[in-house]
Amino acid sequence: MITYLDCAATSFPKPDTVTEEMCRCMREYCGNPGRGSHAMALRASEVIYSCREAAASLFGSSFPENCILTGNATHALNLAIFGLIPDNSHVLISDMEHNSVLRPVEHLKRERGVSYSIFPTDGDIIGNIRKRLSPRTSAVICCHSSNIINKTLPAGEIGALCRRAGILFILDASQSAGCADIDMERDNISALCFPGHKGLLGAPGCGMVIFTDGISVRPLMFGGSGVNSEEITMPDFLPDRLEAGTMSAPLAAGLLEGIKYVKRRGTENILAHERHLTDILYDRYGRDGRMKIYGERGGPLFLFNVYGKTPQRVGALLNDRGICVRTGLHCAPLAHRTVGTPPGGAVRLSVGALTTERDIMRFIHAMESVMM
Amino acid sequence: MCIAAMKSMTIAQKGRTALKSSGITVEIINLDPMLTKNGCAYGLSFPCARRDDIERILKSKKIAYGEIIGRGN
Repeated sequence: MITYLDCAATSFPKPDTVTEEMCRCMREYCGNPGRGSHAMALRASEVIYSCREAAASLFGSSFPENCILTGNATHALNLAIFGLIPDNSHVLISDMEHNSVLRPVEHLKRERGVSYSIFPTDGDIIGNIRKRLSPRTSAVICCHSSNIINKTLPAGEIGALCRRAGILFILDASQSAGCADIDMERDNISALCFPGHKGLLGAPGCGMVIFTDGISVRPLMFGGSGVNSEEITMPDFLPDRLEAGTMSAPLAAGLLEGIKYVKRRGTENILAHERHLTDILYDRYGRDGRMKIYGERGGPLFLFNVYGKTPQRVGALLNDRGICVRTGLHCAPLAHRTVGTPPGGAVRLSVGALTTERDIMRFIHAMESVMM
Repeated sequence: MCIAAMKSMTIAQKGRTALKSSGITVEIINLDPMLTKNGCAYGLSFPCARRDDIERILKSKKIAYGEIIGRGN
Protein backbone atom coordinates (compact mmCIF):
# COMPACT_ATOMS: atom_id res chain seq x y z
CA MET A 1 0.00 0.00 0.00
CA ILE A 2 1.27 3.46 -0.90
CA THR A 3 0.80 6.41 1.44
CA TYR A 4 1.24 9.63 -0.48
CA LEU A 5 2.47 12.62 1.53
CA ASP A 6 3.98 14.83 -1.19
CA CYS A 7 1.01 17.08 -1.98
CA ALA A 8 3.15 20.24 -2.09
CA ALA A 9 4.74 18.80 -5.25
CA THR A 10 1.55 17.39 -6.76
CA SER A 11 -1.62 16.60 -4.87
CA PHE A 12 -2.84 13.02 -4.72
CA PRO A 13 -5.36 11.50 -4.68
CA LYS A 14 -7.68 13.58 -6.82
CA PRO A 15 -11.44 13.82 -6.39
CA ASP A 16 -13.22 11.21 -8.53
CA THR A 17 -15.05 14.02 -10.32
CA VAL A 18 -11.71 15.29 -11.68
CA THR A 19 -10.66 11.93 -13.09
CA GLU A 20 -14.13 11.15 -14.43
CA GLU A 21 -14.56 14.45 -16.26
CA MET A 22 -11.08 14.24 -17.80
CA CYS A 23 -11.89 10.75 -19.07
CA ARG A 24 -15.30 11.90 -20.32
CA CYS A 25 -13.62 14.72 -22.22
CA MET A 26 -11.15 12.32 -23.81
CA ARG A 27 -13.97 9.99 -24.79
CA GLU A 28 -16.68 12.43 -25.82
CA TYR A 29 -15.62 15.99 -26.58
CA CYS A 30 -11.89 16.33 -27.04
CA GLY A 31 -12.02 18.69 -30.01
CA ASN A 32 -9.69 21.62 -30.59
CA PRO A 33 -10.92 24.61 -28.56
CA GLY A 34 -11.07 27.96 -30.29
CA ARG A 35 -10.51 26.40 -33.69
CA GLY A 36 -13.62 26.05 -35.79
CA SER A 37 -17.22 26.03 -34.67
CA HIS A 38 -18.29 22.43 -35.08
CA ALA A 39 -19.93 20.72 -32.13
CA MET A 40 -16.77 19.14 -30.71
CA ALA A 41 -14.71 22.32 -31.00
CA LEU A 42 -17.45 24.31 -29.32
CA ARG A 43 -17.84 21.83 -26.47
CA ALA A 44 -14.08 21.82 -25.89
CA SER A 45 -14.15 25.62 -25.96
CA GLU A 46 -16.97 25.64 -23.44
CA VAL A 47 -15.09 23.59 -20.86
CA ILE A 48 -12.07 25.86 -21.23
CA TYR A 49 -14.20 28.96 -20.80
CA SER A 50 -15.96 27.42 -17.78
CA CYS A 51 -12.53 26.73 -16.30
CA ARG A 52 -11.54 30.37 -16.79
CA GLU A 53 -14.82 31.54 -15.23
CA ALA A 54 -14.41 29.25 -12.23
CA ALA A 55 -10.83 30.40 -11.62
CA ALA A 56 -11.77 34.07 -12.00
CA SER A 57 -14.61 33.61 -9.53
CA LEU A 58 -12.44 31.77 -6.99
CA PHE A 59 -9.75 34.44 -7.07
CA GLY A 60 -11.83 37.62 -7.19
CA SER A 61 -11.36 38.56 -10.83
CA SER A 62 -14.20 39.84 -13.01
CA PHE A 63 -12.37 38.94 -16.21
CA PRO A 64 -12.39 35.30 -17.33
CA GLU A 65 -10.61 36.38 -20.51
CA ASN A 66 -7.64 37.47 -18.39
CA CYS A 67 -7.19 33.91 -17.08
CA ILE A 68 -4.35 32.50 -19.15
CA LEU A 69 -3.89 28.75 -19.25
CA THR A 70 -0.31 27.59 -18.85
CA GLY A 71 1.53 24.30 -18.47
CA ASN A 72 2.27 24.82 -14.78
CA ALA A 73 3.00 27.56 -12.23
CA THR A 74 6.58 27.98 -13.48
CA HIS A 75 5.25 28.70 -16.97
CA ALA A 76 2.75 31.13 -15.45
CA LEU A 77 5.49 32.93 -13.51
CA ASN A 78 7.74 33.12 -16.57
CA LEU A 79 4.88 34.63 -18.54
CA ALA A 80 4.18 37.22 -15.85
CA ILE A 81 7.82 38.06 -15.11
CA PHE A 82 9.10 38.25 -18.70
CA GLY A 83 5.85 39.78 -19.90
CA LEU A 84 5.62 42.57 -17.36
CA ILE A 85 9.02 43.57 -15.96
CA PRO A 86 10.61 46.47 -17.86
CA ASP A 87 14.25 46.23 -18.88
CA ASN A 88 16.76 47.96 -16.59
CA SER A 89 14.29 48.19 -13.73
CA HIS A 90 14.52 46.80 -10.19
CA VAL A 91 12.38 44.16 -8.51
CA LEU A 92 11.99 42.82 -5.00
CA ILE A 93 11.70 39.13 -4.15
CA SER A 94 11.46 37.42 -0.77
CA ASP A 95 14.01 35.21 0.94
CA MET A 96 11.60 32.27 0.66
CA GLU A 97 11.43 32.05 -3.12
CA HIS A 98 11.36 28.92 -5.22
CA ASN A 99 13.62 28.71 -8.27
CA SER A 100 10.53 29.40 -10.38
CA VAL A 101 10.87 33.03 -9.26
CA LEU A 102 14.60 33.21 -8.55
CA ARG A 103 15.82 31.86 -11.90
CA PRO A 104 13.64 34.06 -14.14
CA VAL A 105 14.66 37.11 -12.12
CA GLU A 106 18.33 36.14 -12.30
CA HIS A 107 17.92 35.70 -16.07
CA LEU A 108 16.45 39.20 -16.31
CA LYS A 109 19.45 40.47 -14.39
CA ARG A 110 21.92 38.84 -16.77
CA GLU A 111 20.10 39.58 -20.02
CA ARG A 112 18.03 42.72 -19.55
CA GLY A 113 19.75 44.82 -16.91
CA VAL A 114 17.17 44.16 -14.22
CA SER A 115 18.49 44.24 -10.67
CA TYR A 116 16.82 42.59 -7.73
CA SER A 117 16.86 42.78 -3.96
CA ILE A 118 15.83 40.09 -1.52
CA PHE A 119 13.67 41.13 1.42
CA PRO A 120 13.63 39.14 4.67
CA THR A 121 10.36 37.51 5.66
CA ASP A 122 10.95 37.65 9.38
CA GLY A 123 9.92 40.60 11.52
CA ASP A 124 8.32 43.58 9.81
CA ILE A 125 7.84 42.28 6.27
CA ILE A 126 6.19 45.44 4.99
CA GLY A 127 8.95 47.57 6.50
CA ASN A 128 11.53 45.25 4.97
CA ILE A 129 9.98 45.79 1.54
CA ARG A 130 9.48 49.53 1.96
CA LYS A 131 13.09 50.22 2.87
CA ARG A 132 14.26 48.43 -0.30
CA LEU A 133 12.03 50.32 -2.72
CA SER A 134 13.77 52.64 -5.16
CA PRO A 135 12.57 54.89 -7.97
CA ARG A 136 13.57 52.09 -10.38
CA THR A 137 11.52 49.43 -8.59
CA SER A 138 8.89 48.02 -10.94
CA ALA A 139 7.49 45.09 -8.96
CA VAL A 140 7.34 42.92 -5.90
CA ILE A 141 7.44 39.25 -6.92
CA CYS A 142 6.95 36.75 -4.13
CA CYS A 143 5.39 33.53 -2.99
CA HIS A 144 2.17 33.66 -1.02
CA SER A 145 3.06 30.58 1.02
CA SER A 146 6.44 28.89 1.25
CA ASN A 147 6.88 25.44 -0.28
CA ILE A 148 9.07 24.20 2.59
CA ILE A 149 7.65 25.59 5.86
CA ASN A 150 4.29 26.88 7.06
CA LYS A 151 4.85 30.56 6.34
CA THR A 152 2.37 32.75 4.48
CA LEU A 153 3.22 36.30 3.48
CA PRO A 154 0.62 39.06 3.99
CA ALA A 155 -0.53 39.38 0.39
CA GLY A 156 -3.14 42.04 1.16
CA GLU A 157 -0.62 44.30 2.91
CA ILE A 158 2.00 43.78 0.22
CA GLY A 159 -0.60 44.55 -2.43
CA ALA A 160 -1.62 47.73 -0.63
CA LEU A 161 2.02 48.81 -0.44
CA CYS A 162 2.46 48.12 -4.17
CA ARG A 163 -0.65 50.18 -4.93
CA ARG A 164 0.71 53.13 -2.94
CA ALA A 165 4.12 52.78 -4.59
CA GLY A 166 2.61 52.47 -8.07
CA ILE A 167 4.37 49.19 -8.82
CA LEU A 168 3.30 45.72 -9.94
CA PHE A 169 2.58 42.86 -7.57
CA ILE A 170 3.21 39.36 -8.97
CA LEU A 171 2.07 36.67 -6.54
CA ASP A 172 3.15 33.03 -6.73
CA ALA A 173 0.25 31.12 -5.20
CA SER A 174 1.70 27.68 -5.92
CA GLN A 175 1.22 26.50 -2.35
CA SER A 176 -1.79 28.59 -1.35
CA ALA A 177 -4.21 28.31 -4.28
CA GLY A 178 -6.94 26.02 -3.02
CA CYS A 179 -6.37 26.54 0.70
CA ALA A 180 -6.22 30.32 1.11
CA ASP A 181 -8.53 33.26 0.60
CA ILE A 182 -7.09 35.15 -2.37
CA ASP A 183 -8.87 38.08 -3.98
CA MET A 184 -7.04 39.79 -6.83
CA GLU A 185 -9.01 43.02 -6.67
CA ARG A 186 -9.01 43.32 -2.86
CA ASP A 187 -5.31 42.42 -2.63
CA ASN A 188 -4.25 44.54 -5.62
CA ILE A 189 -2.57 41.60 -7.36
CA SER A 190 -1.31 42.43 -10.86
CA ALA A 191 -0.63 38.82 -11.82
CA LEU A 192 -1.66 35.75 -9.84
CA CYS A 193 0.27 32.60 -10.82
CA PHE A 194 -0.65 29.11 -9.69
CA PRO A 195 -0.52 25.44 -10.70
CA GLY A 196 -3.61 23.41 -11.42
CA HIS A 197 -2.20 20.17 -10.06
CA LYS A 198 -1.60 21.05 -6.40
CA GLY A 199 -4.26 22.58 -4.16
CA LEU A 200 -6.71 22.94 -7.03
CA LEU A 201 -6.59 19.16 -7.52
CA GLY A 202 -6.30 19.07 -11.31
CA ALA A 203 -3.88 16.96 -13.32
CA PRO A 204 -0.17 17.77 -13.80
CA GLY A 205 0.40 19.83 -16.93
CA CYS A 206 -1.97 22.67 -16.17
CA GLY A 207 -1.51 26.03 -14.51
CA MET A 208 -2.75 29.55 -14.88
CA VAL A 209 -1.87 33.20 -14.56
CA ILE A 210 -4.64 35.74 -14.03
CA PHE A 211 -3.79 39.29 -14.98
CA THR A 212 -5.51 42.35 -13.64
CA ASP A 213 -7.53 44.18 -16.26
CA GLY A 214 -5.93 46.77 -18.52
CA ILE A 215 -2.39 45.52 -18.07
CA SER A 216 -0.09 45.18 -21.10
CA VAL A 217 1.77 41.87 -21.26
CA ARG A 218 4.44 40.82 -23.77
CA PRO A 219 3.83 37.30 -25.12
CA LEU A 220 6.25 34.54 -24.20
CA MET A 221 5.24 32.29 -27.10
CA PHE A 222 4.11 33.07 -30.62
CA GLY A 223 1.98 31.07 -33.05
CA GLY A 224 -1.55 30.12 -33.93
CA SER A 225 -4.36 31.52 -31.86
CA GLY A 226 -7.42 30.59 -33.89
CA VAL A 227 -8.28 34.21 -34.62
CA ASN A 228 -6.81 37.09 -36.64
CA SER A 229 -5.07 34.53 -38.79
CA GLU A 230 -4.26 37.03 -41.53
CA GLU A 231 -2.16 39.06 -39.08
CA ILE A 232 1.50 38.12 -38.69
CA THR A 233 1.60 39.34 -35.10
CA MET A 234 -0.16 38.00 -32.03
CA PRO A 235 -3.61 39.43 -31.26
CA ASP A 236 -3.64 42.45 -28.95
CA PHE A 237 -6.36 41.05 -26.67
CA LEU A 238 -6.49 38.38 -23.97
CA PRO A 239 -6.39 35.44 -23.70
CA ASP A 240 -5.42 34.90 -27.34
CA ARG A 241 -2.40 37.21 -27.15
CA LEU A 242 -0.76 34.94 -24.59
CA GLU A 243 -2.03 31.49 -25.58
CA ALA A 244 -0.24 30.32 -28.71
CA GLY A 245 -1.09 26.80 -29.81
CA THR A 246 -3.77 24.36 -28.75
CA MET A 247 -4.99 24.49 -25.16
CA SER A 248 -5.81 21.18 -23.47
CA ALA A 249 -9.53 20.59 -22.99
CA PRO A 250 -9.01 17.46 -20.81
CA LEU A 251 -6.68 19.35 -18.47
CA ALA A 252 -9.11 22.26 -18.28
CA ALA A 253 -11.96 19.83 -17.62
CA GLY A 254 -10.02 18.35 -14.70
CA LEU A 255 -9.03 21.73 -13.33
CA LEU A 256 -12.62 22.93 -13.55
CA GLU A 257 -13.80 19.97 -11.47
CA GLY A 258 -10.95 20.53 -9.02
CA ILE A 259 -11.97 24.15 -8.53
CA LYS A 260 -15.60 23.10 -8.07
CA TYR A 261 -14.47 20.67 -5.36
CA VAL A 262 -12.48 23.39 -3.60
CA LYS A 263 -15.45 25.77 -3.76
CA ARG A 264 -17.84 23.16 -2.40
CA ARG A 265 -15.59 22.30 0.50
CA GLY A 266 -14.24 25.82 1.13
CA THR A 267 -10.62 26.95 1.29
CA GLU A 268 -10.85 27.64 5.04
CA ASN A 269 -12.12 24.12 5.72
CA ILE A 270 -9.40 22.60 3.57
CA LEU A 271 -6.69 24.54 5.39
CA ALA A 272 -8.21 23.56 8.76
CA HIS A 273 -8.12 19.91 7.69
CA GLU A 274 -4.49 20.20 6.61
CA ARG A 275 -3.55 21.94 9.87
CA HIS A 276 -5.27 19.27 11.87
CA LEU A 277 -3.24 16.56 10.13
CA THR A 278 0.13 18.24 10.59
CA ASP A 279 -0.74 19.22 14.18
CA ILE A 280 -0.71 15.48 14.93
CA LEU A 281 2.92 15.44 13.78
CA TYR A 282 3.95 18.59 15.65
CA ASP A 283 2.32 17.19 18.81
CA ARG A 284 4.02 13.83 18.33
CA TYR A 285 7.52 14.98 17.40
CA GLY A 286 7.75 18.49 18.84
CA ARG A 287 9.84 17.29 21.78
CA ASP A 288 11.39 14.23 20.17
CA GLY A 289 15.14 14.54 20.56
CA ARG A 290 15.76 12.33 17.54
CA MET A 291 14.33 14.84 15.12
CA LYS A 292 15.00 18.45 14.10
CA ILE A 293 11.83 20.26 12.94
CA TYR A 294 12.01 23.45 10.86
CA GLY A 295 9.32 26.12 10.89
CA GLU A 296 6.15 26.13 12.90
CA ARG A 297 2.76 24.50 12.86
CA GLY A 298 -0.19 26.08 11.04
CA GLY A 299 -0.26 24.66 7.52
CA PRO A 300 0.10 21.60 5.32
CA LEU A 301 3.88 21.17 5.69
CA PHE A 302 6.14 19.32 8.10
CA LEU A 303 9.86 19.79 7.37
CA PHE A 304 12.34 17.79 9.39
CA ASN A 305 15.60 15.92 9.62
CA VAL A 306 16.49 12.85 11.65
CA TYR A 307 19.74 13.23 13.56
CA GLY A 308 22.39 10.86 12.25
CA LYS A 309 20.69 10.22 8.92
CA THR A 310 20.70 12.21 5.70
CA PRO A 311 17.31 13.35 4.39
CA GLN A 312 17.86 11.19 1.34
CA ARG A 313 18.39 8.14 3.56
CA VAL A 314 15.25 8.93 5.54
CA GLY A 315 13.29 9.36 2.31
CA ALA A 316 14.57 6.04 0.97
CA LEU A 317 13.71 4.22 4.19
CA LEU A 318 10.22 5.71 4.16
CA ASN A 319 9.82 4.75 0.52
CA ASP A 320 10.77 1.18 1.44
CA ARG A 321 7.84 1.30 3.86
CA GLY A 322 5.41 2.66 1.28
CA ILE A 323 5.55 6.30 2.37
CA CYS A 324 6.09 8.98 -0.31
CA VAL A 325 7.75 12.18 0.91
CA ARG A 326 10.17 14.54 -0.80
CA THR A 327 13.75 15.13 0.31
CA GLY A 328 16.50 17.60 -0.58
CA LEU A 329 16.14 21.29 -1.40
CA HIS A 330 12.67 21.22 -3.00
CA CYS A 331 13.83 23.55 -5.83
CA ALA A 332 14.11 26.27 -3.20
CA PRO A 333 17.75 26.58 -2.10
CA LEU A 334 17.23 30.25 -1.20
CA ALA A 335 14.39 29.31 1.17
CA HIS A 336 16.42 26.46 2.64
CA ARG A 337 19.29 28.86 3.38
CA THR A 338 16.81 31.22 5.03
CA VAL A 339 15.37 28.44 7.17
CA GLY A 340 18.82 27.06 8.02
CA THR A 341 18.70 23.47 6.88
CA PRO A 342 22.01 21.68 6.22
CA PRO A 343 23.44 21.58 2.67
CA GLY A 344 21.56 18.35 1.90
CA GLY A 345 18.26 19.96 2.76
CA ALA A 346 15.56 18.18 4.69
CA VAL A 347 12.60 15.81 4.49
CA ARG A 348 9.29 17.44 3.60
CA LEU A 349 5.98 15.82 4.39
CA SER A 350 3.05 17.66 2.82
CA VAL A 351 -0.64 16.93 3.08
CA GLY A 352 -3.58 17.91 0.91
CA ALA A 353 -7.34 18.13 0.88
CA LEU A 354 -7.77 14.37 0.49
CA THR A 355 -5.04 13.22 2.86
CA THR A 356 -6.44 11.26 5.80
CA GLU A 357 -5.54 10.74 9.45
CA ARG A 358 -4.86 7.13 8.54
CA ASP A 359 -2.12 8.34 6.16
CA ILE A 360 -0.53 10.26 9.02
CA MET A 361 -0.74 7.24 11.33
CA ARG A 362 1.00 5.09 8.71
CA PHE A 363 3.80 7.67 8.52
CA ILE A 364 4.16 7.67 12.31
CA HIS A 365 4.27 3.89 12.36
CA ALA A 366 6.93 3.81 9.64
CA MET A 367 9.04 6.45 11.37
CA GLU A 368 9.43 4.26 14.46
CA SER A 369 11.62 1.87 12.48
CA VAL A 370 13.23 4.62 10.36
CA MET A 371 14.50 6.44 13.47
CA MET A 372 15.90 3.32 15.14
CA MET B 1 -30.33 36.33 -38.65
CA CYS B 2 -27.81 38.94 -37.60
CA ILE B 3 -24.25 38.31 -36.46
CA ALA B 4 -22.20 40.33 -33.99
CA ALA B 5 -18.52 39.92 -34.83
CA MET B 6 -16.45 39.06 -31.75
CA LYS B 7 -12.69 39.28 -31.33
CA SER B 8 -12.23 35.73 -30.15
CA MET B 9 -13.94 32.55 -29.04
CA THR B 10 -13.41 33.57 -25.41
CA ILE B 11 -15.02 36.97 -25.86
CA ALA B 12 -17.83 35.35 -27.82
CA GLN B 13 -18.39 32.99 -24.89
CA LYS B 14 -18.34 35.86 -22.44
CA GLY B 15 -20.93 37.63 -24.57
CA ARG B 16 -23.09 34.54 -24.83
CA THR B 17 -22.95 34.06 -21.03
CA ALA B 18 -23.93 37.69 -20.41
CA LEU B 19 -26.79 37.50 -22.87
CA LYS B 20 -28.00 34.19 -21.46
CA SER B 21 -28.16 35.70 -17.99
CA SER B 22 -30.48 38.32 -19.53
CA GLY B 23 -32.65 35.63 -21.08
CA ILE B 24 -31.33 35.88 -24.63
CA THR B 25 -29.99 32.77 -26.33
CA VAL B 26 -27.42 33.26 -29.08
CA GLU B 27 -25.27 30.86 -31.04
CA ILE B 28 -21.50 31.07 -31.50
CA ILE B 29 -20.50 30.66 -35.13
CA ASN B 30 -17.32 30.79 -37.16
CA LEU B 31 -17.22 33.91 -39.30
CA ASP B 32 -16.27 33.74 -42.94
CA PRO B 33 -12.69 35.11 -42.95
CA MET B 34 -13.69 37.17 -45.99
CA LEU B 35 -16.08 39.13 -43.76
CA THR B 36 -13.30 40.37 -41.50
CA LYS B 37 -10.12 42.33 -42.11
CA ASN B 38 -7.95 40.03 -40.04
CA GLY B 39 -8.91 36.49 -40.98
CA CYS B 40 -10.52 33.89 -38.72
CA ALA B 41 -12.97 35.22 -36.15
CA TYR B 42 -16.14 34.29 -34.32
CA GLY B 43 -19.56 35.79 -34.07
CA LEU B 44 -22.79 35.64 -32.13
CA SER B 45 -25.77 34.73 -34.27
CA PHE B 46 -29.18 36.05 -33.17
CA PRO B 47 -32.54 37.13 -34.57
CA CYS B 48 -32.17 40.64 -35.97
CA ALA B 49 -35.23 41.73 -33.97
CA ARG B 50 -33.09 41.45 -30.78
CA ARG B 51 -30.30 43.64 -32.12
CA ASP B 52 -31.02 46.65 -29.89
CA ASP B 53 -31.31 44.50 -26.76
CA ILE B 54 -28.13 42.65 -27.56
CA GLU B 55 -26.10 45.77 -28.23
CA ARG B 56 -27.40 47.35 -25.04
CA ILE B 57 -26.45 44.33 -22.92
CA LEU B 58 -23.01 43.89 -24.46
CA LYS B 59 -22.26 47.58 -23.99
CA SER B 60 -23.49 47.57 -20.40
CA LYS B 61 -21.22 44.60 -19.62
CA LYS B 62 -18.30 46.26 -21.46
CA ILE B 63 -17.97 43.29 -23.81
CA ALA B 64 -16.33 44.44 -27.01
CA TYR B 65 -17.98 43.51 -30.29
CA GLY B 66 -17.32 44.53 -33.84
CA GLU B 67 -19.56 45.03 -36.78
CA ILE B 68 -23.16 43.78 -36.71
CA ILE B 69 -23.61 41.85 -39.92
CA GLY B 70 -27.16 41.40 -41.17
CA ARG B 71 -30.31 43.17 -42.16
CA GLY B 72 -30.67 45.28 -39.06
CA ASN B 73 -34.12 45.74 -37.60
